[in-house]
Amino acid sequence: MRQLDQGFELFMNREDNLAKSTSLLARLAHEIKVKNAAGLFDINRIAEDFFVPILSILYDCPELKNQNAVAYNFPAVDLGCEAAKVSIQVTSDASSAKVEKTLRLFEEHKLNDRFDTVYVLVLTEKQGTYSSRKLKEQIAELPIAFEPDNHIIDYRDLAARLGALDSEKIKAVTEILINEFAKQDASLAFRKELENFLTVAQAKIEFEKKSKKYIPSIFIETSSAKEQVRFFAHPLFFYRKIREKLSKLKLTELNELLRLAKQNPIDELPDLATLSSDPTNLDKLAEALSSQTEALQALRSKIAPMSMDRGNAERYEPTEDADAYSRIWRHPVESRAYGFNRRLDDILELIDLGRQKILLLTGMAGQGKTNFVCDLVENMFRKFQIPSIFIPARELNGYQGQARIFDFIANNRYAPSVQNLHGLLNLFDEVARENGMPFIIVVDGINEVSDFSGFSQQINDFLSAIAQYDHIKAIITCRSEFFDQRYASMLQQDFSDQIFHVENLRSEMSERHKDRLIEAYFDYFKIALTLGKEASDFLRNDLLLLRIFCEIEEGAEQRFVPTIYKGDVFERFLIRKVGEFEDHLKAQVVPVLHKVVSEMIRLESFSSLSTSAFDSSEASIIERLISDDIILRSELPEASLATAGQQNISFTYDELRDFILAHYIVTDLADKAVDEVSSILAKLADLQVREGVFRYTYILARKHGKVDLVQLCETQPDFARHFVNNIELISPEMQNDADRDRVRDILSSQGSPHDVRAIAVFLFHRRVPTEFLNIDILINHINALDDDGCRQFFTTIFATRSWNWQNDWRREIGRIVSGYLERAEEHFPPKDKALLTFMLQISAYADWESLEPNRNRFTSLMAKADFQAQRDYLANACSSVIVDNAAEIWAFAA
Amino acid sequence: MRSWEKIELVIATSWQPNESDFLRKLKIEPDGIGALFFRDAFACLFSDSINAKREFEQYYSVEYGTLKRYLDGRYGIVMGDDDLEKESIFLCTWLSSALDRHYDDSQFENVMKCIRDLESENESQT
Repeated sequence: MRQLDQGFELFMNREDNLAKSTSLLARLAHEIKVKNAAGLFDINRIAEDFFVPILSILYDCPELKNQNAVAYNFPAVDLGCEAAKVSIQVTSDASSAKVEKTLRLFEEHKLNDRFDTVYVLVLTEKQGTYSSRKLKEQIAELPIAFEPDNHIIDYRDLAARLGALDSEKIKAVTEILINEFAKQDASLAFRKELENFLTVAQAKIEFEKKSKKYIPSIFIETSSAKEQVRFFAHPLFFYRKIREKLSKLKLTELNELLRLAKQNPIDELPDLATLSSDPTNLDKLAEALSSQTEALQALRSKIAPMSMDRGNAERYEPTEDADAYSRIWRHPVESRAYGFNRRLDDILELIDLGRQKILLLTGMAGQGKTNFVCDLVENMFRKFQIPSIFIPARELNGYQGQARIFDFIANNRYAPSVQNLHGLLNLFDEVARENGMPFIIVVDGINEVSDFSGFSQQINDFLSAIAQYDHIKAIITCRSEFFDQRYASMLQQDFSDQIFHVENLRSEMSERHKDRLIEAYFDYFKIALTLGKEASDFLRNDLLLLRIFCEIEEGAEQRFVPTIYKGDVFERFLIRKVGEFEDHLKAQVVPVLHKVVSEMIRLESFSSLSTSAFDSSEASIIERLISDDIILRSELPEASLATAGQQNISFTYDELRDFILAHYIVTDLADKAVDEVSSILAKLADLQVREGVFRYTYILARKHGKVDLVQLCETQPDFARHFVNNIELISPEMQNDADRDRVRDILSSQGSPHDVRAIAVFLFHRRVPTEFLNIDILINHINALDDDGCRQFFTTIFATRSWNWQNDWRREIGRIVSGYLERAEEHFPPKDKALLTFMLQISAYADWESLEPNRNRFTSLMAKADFQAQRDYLANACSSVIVDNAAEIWAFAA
Repeated sequence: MRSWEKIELVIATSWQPNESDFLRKLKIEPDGIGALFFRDAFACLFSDSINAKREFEQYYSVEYGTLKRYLDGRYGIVMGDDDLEKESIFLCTWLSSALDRHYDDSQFENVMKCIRDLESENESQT
């Protein structure tokens, strides 16, 4: 037993030491990165103090030495052990070029005579891959083996190697690291506190990840707000950027124009140059930012009279003797002055960000506020070791009383032992001062605190307290409508001038970002599906649908998804959500949702519903769905005495609401009260929701075999329009002969060009011959049209209505067919024979410029393979233009 | 602060930008009217652009770790190793009129060729 205990103790010591040394290696790498970026890194000291003793243990090199001590200016490698024949180049430059240079020098100086192995230790972080051509060539020439994966190393490789050593060696490495850091930390009184705060903040972020409120891999950095936060959160580090911008600020060009206009030049402010010094701590930084603001504002007001946007300043008056020159040069001067002041404004904003105490982020739901702040804490604050606390505001609901933020912070095992808020803030201020970074308290989603009125006062008091400390800052996020109604008083407090308000978190996403977002979602949810263009477009243009789709397809294996049927997606998603409830609640979820929508129908209010009509068990299900934030969300009731203390809800996603409404109609009402359904549809006639509700009612009625309801829908006066608009939602399993007839009728009708075109486009994209609705219907329809019929039909579906619309449909055909031919020539023979037939049909009607060239290209294709079926089919077309065109193609091909 | 920086052009080069070499290679007289246009082109490509490699090393390496992650994460730009290891990567946020490819007389291709030639000259010298 005693032996077992000893073994366990040894194992635990080993694990403890391993964890400790791994974490210290990470800290070392982090500190090197920060110092290196700031240009304050002393590679020699780090190599001597840390790496020689550590590497000699890790790589079993008892005689590892700094080679510069062996011979002055030793080439290629910094450290070497001739006994083990191992050499190591220590560098902060992770580039392929640096590795290539090391290997080149190694070879040139024939160091292979002394060493069998060369490692490149990247002190910052090595690249993901090293595959550049030059490096590969250099490796090929090297007389010793060098594999980038094994011989280019960073702290993570050291940690991995450490894990493979015996306990004694691990202990030795741990002691080296502890001793070196102890020397370094000797002057730091609050190092331990900093580490604790970082641990707690990270733990909160991990929790947000677990609950999927924060999905790091899908965070796409599209916002300039992140850059703004950098200056706010780490002004001492990013101040260098302000300095750099200041150093580029020159009045030369403006003064040159003023000289041409015979005006007096503007004096350079002497302060600008002297202000560009590097503050070494937060107190000096505050002074520097303050005097810079003053100097830049003075300069700005000097230039303002000449600028196009002079504000309240009076327009400058030229000196009398220069009037003619001034008139000539006035516009260039004003334009240049405007540009200069814009640059000044940019710099002033950065300075302002560094000085402000509170960063307020407001925005509509779904803009990604939580993802944004979690990403900040995880990827900026943690990496810079910015002392911070992350408070998901919804967790404050678990605390009562006036001091709930203090109570929340105090309620963790690392909490400092202080008695009150000011004790805590004093400590934060000290930690900030010591580390040269502000202490940042992030409160995410204050709209999620249910006690609005009480918390509004509390957060104001809390921010007022923070504003009294030099180096504590806060980041607050809130949904904009809640902010406007409940927290707007924050902007009229004694600290309001210290708030930097960001109202638009996300700028428009580019197409590239959308692609990356889909990739990131698929990666996160481990989805191996391949999307067709239609499916991909669907998801790219609807981020909520993307999220829902990924949840239901989590872990999906490789298959092709040509189209996404929203109705199926919603149904599967709801089934999945119900499955997440405890067994005894599962059966209640859908009825509660049905009750929500039935209340909405009753009140004819679809955007905000009071929860007062729900009992406590229903309310608890609603709360769960709100906390998930995908199906339901909390809303503000109109402020009045009658609604005081009430909560309203709405559906996060309008189309999901319409689906649930339809589901309620089909599954609850259809059998017992078809008349009621009729009156509901009539009631919704003028409302925006009708489109969606009708769509899903019809689809679900068909799916569930509700014949009466299907008939009711099909006899509605606007059914034809709905059918055309929603045909994409009728999944292949639901399609039938009646659909096919309906589609044929629309194509043949002389009715709405919109409908004809929509159906033609729909059929064009359906290439699966076993489905009822597919491209064959379109091809058969065209083959049955005579020349006039073809002209009329093609005008309808191809006209782009541009200025020369009379013939633009022919040009459009020419363009489409040319594009098709390019692909067909590249991937010959074309696999999709239906598409080939369609292209041959329409190509006969192309404009004269493309008709002949395309015909020749078709001829070349037809000459290469047997397309007898297409030839026979087109020979039977009713349009002589199609028949003749095809005949000519095959005649020449033969 | 400017909204999200739209990158119009990415130039990865090992040539150390120098305005007089640039004009010389393009056979532009430094005092002539053409110099006005091509100085603007030089400015948008090299002076006013974002020197991504330097910015990464000085400000963003702590957060992003590698240049590749920085370019991808911050700008959505994906580059191969050969381009990443060039001396400089310039991200141009505007293009001067001489480089506007919408005009028939755009000098874009000529300027790009000039940069490639200057880079080759530079490499052959080193």
